[in-house]
Amino acid sequence: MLDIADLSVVYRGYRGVLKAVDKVSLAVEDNEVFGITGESGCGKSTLAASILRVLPQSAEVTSGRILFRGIDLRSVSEAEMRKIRWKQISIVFQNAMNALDPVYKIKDLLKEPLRVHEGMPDEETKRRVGEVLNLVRISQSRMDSYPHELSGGTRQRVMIAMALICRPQLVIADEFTTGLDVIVQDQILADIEDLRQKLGFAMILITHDLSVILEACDRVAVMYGGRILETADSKSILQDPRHPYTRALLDSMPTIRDAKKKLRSLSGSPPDMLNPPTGCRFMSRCTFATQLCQTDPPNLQVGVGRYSRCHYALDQGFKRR
Amino acid sequence: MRRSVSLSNTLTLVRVGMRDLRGDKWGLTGLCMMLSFVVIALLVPYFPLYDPWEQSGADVIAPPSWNHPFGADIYGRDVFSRVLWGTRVSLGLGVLAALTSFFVGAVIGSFAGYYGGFLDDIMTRFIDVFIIIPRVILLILVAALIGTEVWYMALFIGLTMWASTARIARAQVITFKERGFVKAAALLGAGDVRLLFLHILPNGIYPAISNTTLQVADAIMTEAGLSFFGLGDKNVITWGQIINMGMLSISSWWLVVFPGAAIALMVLAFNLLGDSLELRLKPRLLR
Repeated sequence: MLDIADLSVVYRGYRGVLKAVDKVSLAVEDNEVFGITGESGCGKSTLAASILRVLPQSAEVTSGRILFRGIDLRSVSEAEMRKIRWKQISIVFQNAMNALDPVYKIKDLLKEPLRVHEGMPDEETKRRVGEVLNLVRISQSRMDSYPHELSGGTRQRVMIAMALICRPQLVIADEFTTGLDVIVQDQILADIEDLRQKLGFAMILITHDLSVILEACDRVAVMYGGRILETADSKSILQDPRHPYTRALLDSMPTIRDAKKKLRSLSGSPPDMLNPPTGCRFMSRCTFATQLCQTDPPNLQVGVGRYSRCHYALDQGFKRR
Repeated sequence: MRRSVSLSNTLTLVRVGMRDLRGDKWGLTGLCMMLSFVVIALLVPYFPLYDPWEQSGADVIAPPSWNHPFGADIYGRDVFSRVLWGTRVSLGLGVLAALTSFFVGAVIGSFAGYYGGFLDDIMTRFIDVFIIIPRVILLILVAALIGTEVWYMALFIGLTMWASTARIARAQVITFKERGFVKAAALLGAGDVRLLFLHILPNGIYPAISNTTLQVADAIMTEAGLSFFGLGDKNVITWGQIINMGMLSISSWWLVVFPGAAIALMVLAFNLLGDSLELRLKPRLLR
């Protein structure tokens, strides 16, 4: 449904040109949850913003193609794009408190997208608001509350309700569970799965929390320094990472089965994107790096629908210890 | 704009405005005084008073007595009745002038803040010019050129006061337009007008409202001053007019003291209310 090919996005600042997204390709299928993970500044949010064409002014898409159901999102007019936004592709925002206007009641906030996009009669919007609140399991009595009167989890549910109220085909969720405690996080992820069963929509889930990715996603892309280093289904990425960076990420995550597992952290810091290194982006922090890594690694196919951007992806050295 | 939304906004405004009012004795005093003035202004035709225009040769510059509690002016007109009738015009003029100032200032300030850039530069200079021009001199000019009809005067007093409101509105819009919920609404498809009037202003306009309340008092004083100089509308009764009349009989203190006290009380009422609203509505870190 969504097909991104060779997408590059740069930010132009006074210190130079920053390559935030560098020749990224990915495809999201119908009804799929596609996860994008990576550390801060790796370009995952920029990638999401470029899909909806809501990049800040200093940013520019320099190359690539974004096809959504056969429509080229880079070339449609702004008026067309406004029709696609929310009706077909919606977004769940990162920080629910900041994204909900404090002077409106929940029901008025939820009516806004319907009013803007569907021009619906009042009776119908009322019905839809009630319906969508049911879906996200918020009691109808909360309709007349203001955002500050709700708990963090409920606010996040309101955000989800807002994203779903126009019945989009694709929902982009950017760090939408960050800032919630793990129990609420878990409930919301379970509810999202439930909603997807009922309504049928695809999702792009952006998070730096690997456990969320592994729990909720069908497929995962691991980003680093503006590039996707590994793409795979979430089960195989957990059991058999094919990129040293993915493996480092997994090594830094505690498991429930092996309490005594030593957690390893990576030394060094992500590459300076104003002057990105040549060759493999991860080279400077990679324990397996060799002379060969000075050259750009190819995007190797390492399994069915699995790709890894590492010269040694096909070697067996990356099995988890 | 949908009625339900605007209604709930107004209710929020009233709710925020009334918050903690019970513990705020000065704010409450101001509110009570203002409400009494409103009641007087509305009901004065039904009070058993002398006709404020009725002249009586026998009562010319009569000092205060049971018959004329505030005395009578040089035409023998009852000052008590005139002061109460004066409430109407003075209050109406003050409110009209302040509202004019509020709307002009809010629109100019918020457009400058919202669109920024070159437009903002031009408008900010324009606002600065209006802050610099001495108000009374401008109004004397207007009175000379256009006339002294009272509602025109209210309008022009308002048009000389909007600059401070515009500055507040501009600053508020600039801070609120970067907020997450505004960006979210934009992404959701809301246009500029919708963003500005339904999302930014309902959140950020409160400080301009307290400023407007203070401007009511300011406008009343300005009108009184102009009337005192003889630049007021002779066809209506305002407190400034009564004082102006007193100049013709300088030893008749009651022609100055009673309307003067009325001006002082009204200004005090709006100042108390404005200060209390300012404390309540202005954004700040500690409450």
